[in-house]
Amino acid sequence: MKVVWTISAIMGLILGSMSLALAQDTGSLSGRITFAGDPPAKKKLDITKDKEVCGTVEHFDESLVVGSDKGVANVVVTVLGAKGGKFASQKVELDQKGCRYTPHVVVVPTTGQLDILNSDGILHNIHTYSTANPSINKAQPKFKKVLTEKFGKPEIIKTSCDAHAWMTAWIVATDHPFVGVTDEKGNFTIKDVPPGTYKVEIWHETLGKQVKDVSVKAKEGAKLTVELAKK
Amino acid sequence: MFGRERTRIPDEKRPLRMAFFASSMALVLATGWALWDEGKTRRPWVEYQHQFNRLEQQMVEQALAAGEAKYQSPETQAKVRGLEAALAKAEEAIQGSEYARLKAELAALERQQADKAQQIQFIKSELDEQRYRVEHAQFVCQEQEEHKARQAGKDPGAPEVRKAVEACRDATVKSAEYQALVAREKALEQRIQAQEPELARLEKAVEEKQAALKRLSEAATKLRDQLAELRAPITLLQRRLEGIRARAPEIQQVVIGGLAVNEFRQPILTVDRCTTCHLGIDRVGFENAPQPFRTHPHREAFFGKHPVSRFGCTACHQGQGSALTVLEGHSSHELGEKLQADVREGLRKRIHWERPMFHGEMVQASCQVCHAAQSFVPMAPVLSEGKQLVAQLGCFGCHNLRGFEKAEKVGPSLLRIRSKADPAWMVRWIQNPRGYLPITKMPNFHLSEDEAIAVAAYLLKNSEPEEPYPTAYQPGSAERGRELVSRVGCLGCHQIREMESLKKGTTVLPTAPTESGRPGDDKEKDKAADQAAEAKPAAAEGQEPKPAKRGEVKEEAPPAYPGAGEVYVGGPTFGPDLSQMASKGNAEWLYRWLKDPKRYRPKTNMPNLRLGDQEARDIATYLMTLGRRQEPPGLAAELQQEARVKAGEALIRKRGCFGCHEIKGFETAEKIAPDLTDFGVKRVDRLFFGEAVEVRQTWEDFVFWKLKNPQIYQTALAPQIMPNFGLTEEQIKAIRVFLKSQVDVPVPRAFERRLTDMEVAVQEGRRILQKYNCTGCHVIEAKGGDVATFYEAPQVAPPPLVAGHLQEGEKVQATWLYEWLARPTSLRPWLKVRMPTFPVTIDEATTLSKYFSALAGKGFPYEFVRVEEYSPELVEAGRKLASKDYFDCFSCHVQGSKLPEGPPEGWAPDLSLARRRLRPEWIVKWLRDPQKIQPGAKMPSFFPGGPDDILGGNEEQQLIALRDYIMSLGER
Repeated sequence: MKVVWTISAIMGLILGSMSLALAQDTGSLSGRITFAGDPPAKKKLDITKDKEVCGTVEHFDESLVVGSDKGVANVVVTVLGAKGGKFASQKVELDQKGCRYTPHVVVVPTTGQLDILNSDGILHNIHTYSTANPSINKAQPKFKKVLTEKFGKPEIIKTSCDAHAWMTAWIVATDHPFVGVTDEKGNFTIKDVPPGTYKVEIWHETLGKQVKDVSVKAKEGAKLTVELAKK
Repeated sequence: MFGRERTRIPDEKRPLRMAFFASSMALVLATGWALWDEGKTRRPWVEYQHQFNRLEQQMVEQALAAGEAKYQSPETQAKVRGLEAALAKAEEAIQGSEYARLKAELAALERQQADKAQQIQFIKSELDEQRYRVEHAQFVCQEQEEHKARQAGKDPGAPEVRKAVEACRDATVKSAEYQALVAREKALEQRIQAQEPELARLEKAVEEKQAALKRLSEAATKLRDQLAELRAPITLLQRRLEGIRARAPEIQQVVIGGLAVNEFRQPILTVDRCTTCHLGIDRVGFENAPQPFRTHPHREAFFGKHPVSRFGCTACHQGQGSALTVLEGHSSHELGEKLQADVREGLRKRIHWERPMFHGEMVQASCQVCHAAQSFVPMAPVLSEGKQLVAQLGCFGCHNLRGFEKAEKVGPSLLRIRSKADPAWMVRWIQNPRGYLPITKMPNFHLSEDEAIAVAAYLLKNSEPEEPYPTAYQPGSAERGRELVSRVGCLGCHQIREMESLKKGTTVLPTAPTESGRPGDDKEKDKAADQAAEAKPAAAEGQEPKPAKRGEVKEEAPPAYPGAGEVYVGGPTFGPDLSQMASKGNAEWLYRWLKDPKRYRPKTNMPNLRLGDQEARDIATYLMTLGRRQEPPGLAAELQQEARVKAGEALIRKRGCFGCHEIKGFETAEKIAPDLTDFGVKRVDRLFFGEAVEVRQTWEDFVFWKLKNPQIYQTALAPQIMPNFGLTEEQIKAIRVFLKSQVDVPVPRAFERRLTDMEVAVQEGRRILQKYNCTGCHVIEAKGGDVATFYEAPQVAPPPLVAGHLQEGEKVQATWLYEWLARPTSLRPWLKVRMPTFPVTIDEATTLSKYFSALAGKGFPYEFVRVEEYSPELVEAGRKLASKDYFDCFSCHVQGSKLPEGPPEGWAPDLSLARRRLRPEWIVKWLRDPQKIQPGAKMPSFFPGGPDDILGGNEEQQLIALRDYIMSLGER
């Protein structure tokens, strides 16, 4: 028994120092996703229901949001095969405000939970269309301020509200933290990536999926610029 | 010569040694041969039994070796050794001093106990004596006094005598003598009481010792049992092996009582001896054994309900049950192909067996005998498909067939054809139906153009005018019509090629030939000729035509759910393809037909879509843009000719068009084709093969090729008038199995498969579903619903009715369903697709309602739904729950005339209809978990998660409250 303890203690030490070394010697990956061609015009949506709540903010079609300098928002960038890392938080929020999901794309650890808030105070429902995880369709009436859901398997899940047909969000359930989502200018940053050469998946709800090779070096920031075009 | 003469001996003295010797040798040989023949030649089954015994012996030996190996394996051996050691210990304990000491102690205790018991017994007898004396002392008084009284001549029962007795007794009791007796009695009782605890103690001690001894000996017994158990499989196999070795060959036979009847319809006993050779048929473990020893391939599925002891073998397989040779038993050369060459040759020569054995799927024909009442026999898919095909194709229009005595004609009525069909189209259609519709039941009669014109001429001449219709067709918008056709539900039953692109999913359609020119083109003729040529068996030299490998046993897994494997007919190919409508019909007729199909043809299955005048005009306009009219010059005049009409009448009479269609002038015409009610046992020598030498002379081949190419047996003198139905080989084989079942076999009631009420409801329901093609739009029993591919979301397509946890019969009230089927109203009026009004009869509506109830396992007839009894408190709580502050039900649900906000796609059914429509318990089930009942439903689940401030947060109560509230909505 003693021997086992000693061995495991040594192994622990080695692993501990390794992870310490990793934490120190990681790099980062940042970049921009741009749109090939002329950016589509912003399409304003007609609000036909619950106007007193939903009509307070302007609604635009979010299936493709391209910024003024062609940056594409809401693109999910995933580093495939990177080991280790820690999630910033195990608790993530998705708000329903003005009959709009904020954010439009939300990254949820598979070990964590998603708190769905109902700031509107009207009936919404969370209807997910998933294959790996069980699909849910749960009502969130006025009195239900928070609905907590877990997504145990990695998957990008479409979510919508049947009461307000224009409402759509995407839940990115992931089992590792190397996932970034572009902002409205098309920029993204993924921190603390262990050095190595990786395949990086770039996914957008209407522009589809691409895979790129990226090398991340210790203490350096790798850059990735990808142009997506309409299929 | 000389020698003979010289030694001539008189006949009587001539020695007959040689003759005797020779004849006795002959006798010996003959006897030997007779014995050999009796024992060997005439008993081939003996050899099979030996073979089987060897096979089984091998199997058992293998198992034995395996068992032995397992027993000898280190683990088992370790176990054995462990047990043996324990046993030795236990036995030692029995032999040991402890055991002996216990035994000695027990013996001593037992002795003590016996002594004690005896002691007590002695005291007890003394006590008995004392008791007697005490009693006697009292009795003496009575004796004495009564004796005195009698001697004095007084009545012994007189009061004074009684008094004297009492006085005497008192004196006795008081006497010292008596007192001493009583005292001794008491003393004895006390002595017994004093001894008893000691006895009880001894008894207990004895029991304890006995138990201790038993424990010791039991431990050994238990261990011995465990050891034997480890060894048991081997012992069992050894015993089986001994059993096999001791077996003597003997004929195995099953006596079946009551299944067969004699000429006078009296049940008789029959004998099946098949198991004499097929020894493994009802035994597990011979699945891979060579024939004839193999286990029955469907043993588990069949033998449960059809035990060999009750049904035997030949009830299903036919053949000569009492025969004991391969040849006579099987009596079918089809099967012979699997047997040895010599036997096969023997079978080939004898094709005229009375009961040839069925082989492969043909066995299913036997199912019909007892299962005639079932339209679908789960274990007989081929037979069931055959029945289905016969029902659809309407074979009974020309042939008499068992089970179709009352079937209705399958084709549309032609009584008013003139107002509907274009004459030129009619000619083309009659000549080659598949030229217009790729999928149709109408067969090809191989008529010449002249003949087709003649038939059309008669039909047009004998067509009644349509009754006048209040509104008339005017050209509408083809675009609006197209939109309507694509949305309103037409595509549930009809195909339109140009609509296929609107499908959200992809399904490949059979390509329809485009109509070209007049019928009877050279091209067309060539094609027909090609087809006919293809439909001839390849008659290669010296080779048998092998059109189909039907000798092969089809080993299909039987469907699990009764009816689940039923042939699915319907969907978009149910109604005619409308891709070429303009070449067939006219807008005026289409308009009237769309508005009210029953008016044109009372027996039609086409439902009334309740179209508005303008809607009907638009659809008619659109349909008339599909295809184009072709009018060959001069045809109109030809169709008017009286000679043509006359020729047409003769043709219709000859070819039996009226078998499927209502035609004026043929109302009382008889069926034109041979009666097939006994066709299953039709002898080969009575079948007409014409000059088709390439067809093998068997019943099976005859039928196959007749259906494949009805003209095949045609000769100059014997025209064959049966039309070609364009069947696939699978379909032909299915029909053939059905035809084989066309025999007159009376079945005793005990063997008849009768349907329960519930089964009848399900079977009849399915028939009606098929009649109206309900599954064209709805998913029912996990089938159909194809039309949904034309709709972008399931919510705007026709709803599924029976799928998974969704059961229409559980959802809606039977009464409502019944009424609604007869007069449907739109439940979701905002949808483009609508439930049409089907021409269902009262019986059909009842049956359908019953069918859905039966599927859901619900009672029928009607369940009384009590609405008035709901408590106002609960209804009020429900109202609160449904309000905007809580579940906000009317955010999506319609309530009477109150419509929700937003686009209609997001609306949900009118809750004020629930009271008359839904079963209250279903509302609760649905609210509890809508996704479970209908995965993907827009209805979200509100539970668990009910509010805390209503009904104290009790969710069960909240569910009831919502139910009661919903049931309280709407009109009373």
